[in-house]
Amino acid sequence: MPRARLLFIPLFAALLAWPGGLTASAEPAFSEYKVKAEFIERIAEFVDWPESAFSGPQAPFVIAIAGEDPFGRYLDEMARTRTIKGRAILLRHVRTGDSLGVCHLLFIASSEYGRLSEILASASPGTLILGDGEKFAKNGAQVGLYPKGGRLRFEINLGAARKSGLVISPKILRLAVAVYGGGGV
Amino acid sequence: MKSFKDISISAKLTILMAGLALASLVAGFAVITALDTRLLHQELVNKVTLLTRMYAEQCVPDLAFGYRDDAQEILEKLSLAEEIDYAVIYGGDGKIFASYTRAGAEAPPDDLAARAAGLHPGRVLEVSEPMSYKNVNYGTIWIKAATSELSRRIAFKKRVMGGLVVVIAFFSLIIAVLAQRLVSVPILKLAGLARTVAEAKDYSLRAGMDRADEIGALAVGFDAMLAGLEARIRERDAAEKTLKQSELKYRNLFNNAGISMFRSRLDGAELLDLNEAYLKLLGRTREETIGMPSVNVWADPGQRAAMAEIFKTRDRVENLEFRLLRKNGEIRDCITSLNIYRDEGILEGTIMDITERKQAAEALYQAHALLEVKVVERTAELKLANEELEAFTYSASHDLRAPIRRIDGFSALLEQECAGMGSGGQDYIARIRKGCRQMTSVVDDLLRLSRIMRQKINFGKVDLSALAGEAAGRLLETEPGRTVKFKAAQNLYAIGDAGLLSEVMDNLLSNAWKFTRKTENAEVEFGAEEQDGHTVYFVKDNGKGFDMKFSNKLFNPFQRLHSPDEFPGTGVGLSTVRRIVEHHGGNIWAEAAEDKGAAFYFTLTAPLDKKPVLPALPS
Repeated sequence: MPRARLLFIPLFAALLAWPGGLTASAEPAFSEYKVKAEFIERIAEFVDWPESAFSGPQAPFVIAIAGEDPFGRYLDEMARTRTIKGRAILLRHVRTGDSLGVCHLLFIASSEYGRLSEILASASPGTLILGDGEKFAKNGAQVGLYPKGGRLRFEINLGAARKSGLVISPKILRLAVAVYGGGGV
Repeated sequence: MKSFKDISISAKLTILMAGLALASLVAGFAVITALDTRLLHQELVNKVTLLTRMYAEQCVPDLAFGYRDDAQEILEKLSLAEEIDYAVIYGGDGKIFASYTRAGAEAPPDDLAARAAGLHPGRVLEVSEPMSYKNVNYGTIWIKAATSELSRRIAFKKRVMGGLVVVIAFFSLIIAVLAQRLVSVPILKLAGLARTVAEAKDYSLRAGMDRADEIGALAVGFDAMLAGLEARIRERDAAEKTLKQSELKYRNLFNNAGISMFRSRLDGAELLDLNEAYLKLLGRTREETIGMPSVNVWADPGQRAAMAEIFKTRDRVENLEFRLLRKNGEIRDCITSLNIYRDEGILEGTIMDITERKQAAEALYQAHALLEVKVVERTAELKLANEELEAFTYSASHDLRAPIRRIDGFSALLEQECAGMGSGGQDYIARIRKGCRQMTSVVDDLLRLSRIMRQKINFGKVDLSALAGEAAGRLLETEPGRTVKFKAAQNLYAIGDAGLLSEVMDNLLSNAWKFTRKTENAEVEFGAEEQDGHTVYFVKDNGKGFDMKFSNKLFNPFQRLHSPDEFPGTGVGLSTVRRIVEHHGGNIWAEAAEDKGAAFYFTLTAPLDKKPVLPALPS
């Protein structure tokens, strides 16, 4: 296990306290997007990419953010100090009209929901698409994140994942609010 | 307190068998319990380990995504496993993420850092497992199980085992008692029998057990031993009885024996036993004699001292003469024969009173000596008379010869002068001359006989065969007309006087020649044979012979068994022969029968045992 990661575990544990409102001992400044940033990293860890998704063992893990970046400096900090799947993290911001290019994880901000089908169409296989909102997973994104019952929850679209050549660990299916496209194309 | 060695066999067997069963049972149960304990513990360890791993796996996503409630819900399911005290998931910060604690159990430490100090090895079992997915670690799960349940189960098992031990011990005791009876009852019976035999000395008892095992063999051996003992005791009693009878018999013999018998100490300090004959000899009573120093019976202390020296080296003394002192002071001559038992320091012997015998012997000796003197005197007288007689015979014979020759001479002259005398006168003169010749031959024989008696013998080696041959030759010359078959054994030699032995052969052969005159196929034989180790010479013929009742007359002078007309002779020849043979220390005898021939036997050296031997007298 990368040594750097351990340093963040206590921090994350404190972040996790947020949805339950147990913020008395934690820093009150932690926002929902910090939790979402951590979720991005966790979900990435429970998903397997095909070998072909990376150009080599040293190739970085590319995270693309479509729309407005809700994470602020927190994700930058994470990309700088931590790894995903043992790889360095590379952040890219995608503006409207930009080509998506090569990326392993595409975070679509809730503001970009209208362009979902367009983005999906332009996304290359081997891209894990996370949408920030309740309807994303139902409509073709592999994972959708949204708060529910005071906690950040997620939905999974297995059909989309299978289409893009990704394998999502069954372990996290139990935690998903909904799983779509088990038998879809 | 009795030691194990002394308690009865049945108790020993029971203790051994029951003890063995119990010991093996306890040992077996102990091993089983120990194995069970290990097994149960291992089982618990395995179970808790498995649970911990499963829960770590299960709760990784909940921990990863911070779903505390979900994790909590999963952990609560551990309430089904009642041995689990608590299960706790610590997050990456070391703080409790989720936990389950069984009601009444101790709660887990709040902080992972506090754990290290709080471990209770042994009674509690705690298993931890890192919670990670794909090389990313999210925290740790700890599950603690109480071993109290385990201890309870072990204790229960121990109680069951203990109960079993008691029950089995009871049964093994019963079995041991039964088994030992099988073995020990016959042994006890034998032991009781042995005790009875030893106490009551009743050897007619028998075990009488019919079993094929070792005890049966023991019983058979025991019975055989008893039978042997019984037989031995019977033999011993019989032997004792016989011995007593024998002892009585010998005691009677001892007491009633005519000879004195005694038993005393070798050092002479005490007379231990003696018989009636000895008491009588001593002239004492038994009471005063038993225990008396035996040296007191010796009249001569020097003799007793010499005897003591002899006792030191010899085991037996025979016919020892000593002088015995009677109570009344009288001294008796006795001889004693003794056996000396040096190891026991005992002397046993017999004593014979020879006082009378000695006196008689003394008297006899005296008489004998007197007789001897008389014999010598008489012999001398006789010899003198004999010599006188012989001298007379010689001188008479010698003196007779001249007158006879003169009568014969004048008769011859008268015959010539009176030639014209009638035939009657001639006949008378012839008879006178015949008588003269006969008388001359008698006188010659007598002279020869007396000469032999006075002559000294010149001993030398003599060839008897040659002498016999010469004598036969002379006889044949005198009467060449006769045919007599003459046989003589060759190389018969003797030690003697050649001239005298020639006379013997002449006489015996002419005798045989003479008495075979009227026998057809006359045979005369000279030879020798061995009789009782001595050489006996003989001259045999098959002539007239004689009646053996006259054989005592045969060798006396002038004794004739036949008339001179029938067989001429002077009757002096055989007495001459006898003289010569006796001079040579030999004997002569004859065997014959009328008309069956005669045999004359003689020896030339008298056998030693035929010499008269006078009894030796004590000096």
